[in-house]
Amino acid sequence: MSKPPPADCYDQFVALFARHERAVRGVIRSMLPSLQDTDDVMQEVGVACWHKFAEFKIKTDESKDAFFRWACVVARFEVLKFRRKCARDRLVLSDETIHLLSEDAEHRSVNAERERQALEDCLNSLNTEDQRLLLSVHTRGDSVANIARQLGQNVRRLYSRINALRDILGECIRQKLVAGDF
Amino acid sequence: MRDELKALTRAYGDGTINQIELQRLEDLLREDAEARQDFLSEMNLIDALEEMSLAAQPEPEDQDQLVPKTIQKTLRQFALTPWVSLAVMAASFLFITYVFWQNPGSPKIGTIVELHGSVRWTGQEGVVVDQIQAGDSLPGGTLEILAADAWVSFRFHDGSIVTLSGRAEAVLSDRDQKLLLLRHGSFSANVEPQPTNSPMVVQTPSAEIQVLGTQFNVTAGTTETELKVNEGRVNFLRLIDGKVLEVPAEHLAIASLDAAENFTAQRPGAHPTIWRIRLSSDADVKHGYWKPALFELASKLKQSVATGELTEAEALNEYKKSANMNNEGSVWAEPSKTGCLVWLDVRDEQRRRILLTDQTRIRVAGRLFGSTELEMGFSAYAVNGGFAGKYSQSVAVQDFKRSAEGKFECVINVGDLLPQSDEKPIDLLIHDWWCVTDSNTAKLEITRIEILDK
Repeated sequence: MSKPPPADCYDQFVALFARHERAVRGVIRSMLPSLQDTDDVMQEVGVACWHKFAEFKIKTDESKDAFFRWACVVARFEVLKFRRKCARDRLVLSDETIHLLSEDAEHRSVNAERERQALEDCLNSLNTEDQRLLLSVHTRGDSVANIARQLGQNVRRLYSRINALRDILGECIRQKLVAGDF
Repeated sequence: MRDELKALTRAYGDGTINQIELQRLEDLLREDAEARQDFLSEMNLIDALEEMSLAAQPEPEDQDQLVPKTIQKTLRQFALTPWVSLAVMAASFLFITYVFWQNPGSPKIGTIVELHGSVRWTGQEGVVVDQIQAGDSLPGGTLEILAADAWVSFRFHDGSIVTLSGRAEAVLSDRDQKLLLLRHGSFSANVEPQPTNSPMVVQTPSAEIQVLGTQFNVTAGTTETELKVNEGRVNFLRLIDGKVLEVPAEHLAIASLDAAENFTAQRPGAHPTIWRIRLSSDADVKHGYWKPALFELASKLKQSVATGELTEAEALNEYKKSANMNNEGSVWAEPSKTGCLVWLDVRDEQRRRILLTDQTRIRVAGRLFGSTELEMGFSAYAVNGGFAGKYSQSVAVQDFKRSAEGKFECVINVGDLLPQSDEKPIDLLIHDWWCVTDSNTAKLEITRIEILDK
């Protein structure tokens, strides 16, 4: 393993990592099937980036974008490591597909951020009940089955409703991006 | 976005996908760049909703910490400021290059000089052309090899030539400097002298190569890039840690995504003339599904325990006994454009390629169901040079013996393989080997491949 970088790099690392954390996390999430897996890998990526930061600085400390690209390489490696560890008991995309997706995801970080900004607007256009339903599906440790039980609804019907809401959001985002609102 | 892709993407993002759906999703994503964009957009929506959901929840006290609490607070401030991600929006070098060649006004950058088999070019605004041919002048774009026996040579205006082979996909551009983005596969290049301040740049998933003029070969996979320099010198940068290596002529170096791996230039020893594939991992599998040897045994033992034929302890003992004896696996063919395909790298433990002589034979063993004809072939490279051609032979299944379980073994004289040029593949290096069935519904398992001399 690489030597940890000197302590005076810490502030610089934290600033760069904070700046790009969300984008890197988005790249990781696009390759993995769950929020929990993404959390686990993101943790490893943070540690790995810190341990390798001195080596990164030697070559590329002049460009801030270089950090994002470099962190994506680290992230891809950690995702592949994670996949090999869990591939026997979990359904995860293959190495080759992960590689293709990660490369595409790095290149679409601009679009991804625009989509997220448009989503905030689009979500606000839904009524409160629908907003709560959509967000509750993604609550850590919760599931569509749990929510269906609590609401006394059929799981499949609830899932259809959630997907219909996702369709509405998707179309809203698309229209806002085409209109150049973001 | 197609309904099927949307449903599969959501099932994946929600963690509810099953094996068959995952396989279908893989197929869609591998084949179609637009499908990948749609998939990423949908996954981005899921990620954003998860983030909003988390932001609405009280934060747990004992959350794992990457950095101390004070720094975490700073991190959160950055992360929650809407416009900080504008920094991310500044396009990377690759992205800028991508946009350049998407520009409808892009000039031609070179010509296809030789081509064999199924090759696709994707150019301006996603226009896909499957019928390119020798003599076609092209602007920047993506060249993709679609079949095992295919390859293509592209000459830039200054005479530099790159030859792609081995299920390769590469983006080519030439504005202020030549850029080749090799997503996967192999290419060999003869690069004419380039201006010192604008060398040709080759980017792969794990490395970056800067070339001022030389002959070299590159093979890129998802986790490592192999560079063999035959003439001149090449600067080789490993992306994971930014280390740079100067690789001289007749030397080989590997840049892995694992920084703990050795990163030095080494002169390969004399090339061996005999070889046997190692199937203890999927390291040499370019196309196909590697299965550990004990996979089937484990399934059988589980079944025996379920039916009461064995106790759990007996099954475990049986498994342990076999595990100590044999760690080798096998490779199953996976569908491709031309049939079910197994495609393997041919190299020994020191990564040396195997030298073909006039006595070389290839022995193949495996299992086969549902196919009447196999095509086997390989890519050859000059000993100290670039791509030398692909050689293949069709074998009627009825011509070799098969057991009731579909097991077969066949031996092929290399001299009998059909060359795509007039020359026999003697004194060349075998780089990769493939076997493809005549149907995408066939089942083909390769358990052993050997190269024999005499």
